[in-house]
Amino acid sequence: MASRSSSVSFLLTLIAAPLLALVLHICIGKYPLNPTLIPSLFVKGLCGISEHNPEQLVLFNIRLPRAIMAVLFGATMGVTGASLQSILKNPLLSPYTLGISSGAAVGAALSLAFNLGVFSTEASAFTFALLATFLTLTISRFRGGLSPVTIVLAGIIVTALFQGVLTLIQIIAQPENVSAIVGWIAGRLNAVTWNHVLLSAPLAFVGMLGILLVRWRIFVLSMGDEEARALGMDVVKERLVVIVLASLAVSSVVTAAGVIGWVCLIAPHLTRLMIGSDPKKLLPASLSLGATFLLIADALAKSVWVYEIPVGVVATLVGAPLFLYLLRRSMHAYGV
Amino acid sequence: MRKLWIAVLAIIVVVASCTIGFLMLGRPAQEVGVKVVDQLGREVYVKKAERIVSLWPEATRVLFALGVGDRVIGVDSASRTCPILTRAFPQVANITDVGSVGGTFDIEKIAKLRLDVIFMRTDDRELAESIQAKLGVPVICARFNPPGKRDWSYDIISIIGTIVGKKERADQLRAYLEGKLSEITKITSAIPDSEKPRVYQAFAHDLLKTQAWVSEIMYGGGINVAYDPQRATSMGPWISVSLEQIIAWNPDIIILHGFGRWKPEDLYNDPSWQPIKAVKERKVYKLTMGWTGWDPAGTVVQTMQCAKIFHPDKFKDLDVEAEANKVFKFVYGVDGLYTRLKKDYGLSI
Amino acid sequence: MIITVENLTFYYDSIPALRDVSVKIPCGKLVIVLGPNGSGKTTFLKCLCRLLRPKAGYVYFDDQLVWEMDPKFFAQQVGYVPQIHLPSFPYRVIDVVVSGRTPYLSALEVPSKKDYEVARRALEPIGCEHLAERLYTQLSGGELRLVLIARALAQEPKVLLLDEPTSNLDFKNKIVVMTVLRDLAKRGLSIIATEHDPNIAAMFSDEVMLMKDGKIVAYGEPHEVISEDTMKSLYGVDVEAISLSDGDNNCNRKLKLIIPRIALQ
Repeated sequence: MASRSSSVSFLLTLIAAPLLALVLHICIGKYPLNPTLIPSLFVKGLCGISEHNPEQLVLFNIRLPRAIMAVLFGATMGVTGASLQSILKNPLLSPYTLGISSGAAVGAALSLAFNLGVFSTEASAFTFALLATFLTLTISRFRGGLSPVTIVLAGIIVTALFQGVLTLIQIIAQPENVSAIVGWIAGRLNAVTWNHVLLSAPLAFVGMLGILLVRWRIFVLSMGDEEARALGMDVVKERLVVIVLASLAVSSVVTAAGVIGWVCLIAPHLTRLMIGSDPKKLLPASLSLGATFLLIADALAKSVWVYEIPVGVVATLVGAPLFLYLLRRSMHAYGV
Repeated sequence: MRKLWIAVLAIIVVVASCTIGFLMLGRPAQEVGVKVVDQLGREVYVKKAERIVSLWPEATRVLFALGVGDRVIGVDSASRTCPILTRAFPQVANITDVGSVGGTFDIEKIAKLRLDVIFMRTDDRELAESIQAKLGVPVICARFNPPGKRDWSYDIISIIGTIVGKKERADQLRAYLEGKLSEITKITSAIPDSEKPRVYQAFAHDLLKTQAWVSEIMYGGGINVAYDPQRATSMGPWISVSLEQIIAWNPDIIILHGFGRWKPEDLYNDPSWQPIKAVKERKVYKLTMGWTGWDPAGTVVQTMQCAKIFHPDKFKDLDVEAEANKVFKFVYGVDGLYTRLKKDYGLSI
Repeated sequence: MIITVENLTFYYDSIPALRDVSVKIPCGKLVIVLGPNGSGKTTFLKCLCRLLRPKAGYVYFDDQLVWEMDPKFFAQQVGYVPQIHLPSFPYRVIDVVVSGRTPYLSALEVPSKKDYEVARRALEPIGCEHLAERLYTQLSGGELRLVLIARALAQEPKVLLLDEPTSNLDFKNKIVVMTVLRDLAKRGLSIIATEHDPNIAAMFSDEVMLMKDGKIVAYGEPHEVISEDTMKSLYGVDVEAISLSDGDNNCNRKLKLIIPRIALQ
């Protein structure tokens, strides 16, 4: 049994890692902002003293929202990825498998291509992301009683369907709009403002918190439907709850920052490889690691080269070798 | 033994069909007519050019500038909606729409038109070959920025002019545009870098996207803040930056797309953009007139706009609106076109 | 906990698996359901623990209709041990066992220290305390089965339902498991286990239920129910029955064992 001190130190690590990465992220950027100035800028800003200098603006209007969005996005992807993998008994899944990302892309594309003035691009993207999830769940319900296998299959079908629609829209649309669509879909952490953060934070929080609260149920579900039922759980309902929570959170962060790939697969797996599948620790750790990982990847993405590198690319380049290394060390855990 | 025979038969069938397909695809259009080498180095034979389809707005604009707009019987959708063309030649909106650049073309729609020649951009070699093979119609690929060139080249005018039998007009057009351009560049090329303003040009739909190489900024006597000599060639057209990066660059002037959705007021009213010199000094201008590629007159007009804004002292006598109208008149034969665009889109100068 | 089954009928699509099965199982007994493959043993078990909904018939636990019981309450009374479990993730044994405490937890709760103590104690009767910190993906098939039994015990149930609990176990562990079940029955648990081997049934059970083709063909004490005739009609195998009585070979009870006649040749 983990001793008191080791669980305390575990908790401290979970909080410290993303915090350190956050500090790193805020200190790095193209504008020559001396990191030593940051603490005093913070204090002044929090006390409401605004000096109207570029440094303050860069810190509060540009770096801070981007860093916080990275935390929200990474944390959401980490914890939803890990929980979906558990309840669908499939370590290869990401929240995108259920159709959220292609739904959001179609929503954004429709708005950008046809200038539907009533709905903003964000509203449209969010609506369609949820629509795609709803479609996945409905198909799976009527064709397979919401079992793990049918959910994944339905998700693949819905994703393919929406991808087809997206391609269609891109063909019909004006070329300038097509660039706008492609730009919206790709990870857009560089364009994030406080509005994005404030819009996406509530649902992301609700989703993440909800999932953390039911982490034990997620663990029991991950061992099999029949046995979970024998332990008194309403398997279908509880699985649905987790999926809905995950979808709300993921839809809102994807609407704000685009479809950043790889974080949702790498973060949960890195977590599993680093700390094992301990049910009480896995989900909180995925949340923390997801945030930390994306913060580091984005810090690199915005500073390493003259221009911005898509953060998904950095995530892959950094994550994949790390993943391989950890995998080799832990294959025996899976009985291999 | 039987399995072996089936395998051998299968291999023969596969090899045979591949060979046939290969031969058929590689077969050029009938080698009759004038030989033209397009900007992809393809040798194409053009018999006649009475019925023309343009799948690339730059070519459409050149065709109208050459005076053969009535021969154009099919265009892509961007050509039909080009703000410049639709004002100069309203009939453009009635030409058959055959698809969109970079998307799929309705090849049967094109086939129905019984055409002589097709113009495309240079980016889609395979598509060009396949259309040529399927329809047996010569396809010419050309654009203002041909492969390997970062600045404009007016070769496209000569190529198209030769094909449609308007070589004289093409030469005239070319000489005029090159002349007008050099009127500006002979002044701006003499300006030392220290006196050139630093300029940031934003993409039409995303303020945080720009290009590493912007010809009109250079010709107009400015310096593109996003230019990086080591990188400018390797990077594709549009690159992403962050607002922080723009603030760090602190450009003197910001150029927005003329037909895009942002106005200078949007930047003046956004607190996040305030630290930038161009915003503080209210030097944000809505200028660019590209629409899926360059407009032949636009190349000169945009350079004029830039020159006037970057160096008002050296171009004191340049009345951009009047001169631009003249350029458009020469190219398209229409009066007051620039004035109309300026009014409709709120161009800055 | 007295288990009453009335007219239980179940179909897989149109294939009948249980035909009008009725039986009354007293509490505190180890009952073994014996029968060939396809006789309906597993289906019977699953209907008892509500994993399958019968087409007709009723199941009562102490006069309470099983299907009307609250699922959580039911899970606190009844523990189920499946025959096959395919692990997806490398969990620790102790975590798997403590998941048996789930029926006592609300939806937002996580097992407490007390729950973990119950889990550890559940490992003791089957002698698996040393496995507590191991990853259950690294266990042998038999060890995994023992862990799952411990999980069911962690539920602190009144009834234990096991699907072929001795399959894939080595000789020692077969005995360990059956001894544990026998002792639990003595302490008041009602235990129903399906089984193939008539001798296991003969040696350890209090009562035996013979099933064939979805019907109960016999029910009673092992030495009465297991005989040359019943084995012939159930399995189609000729057997010789050997009886051991009080006083023979350290024997304290009546025991009847089965040897296939062909092995005697």
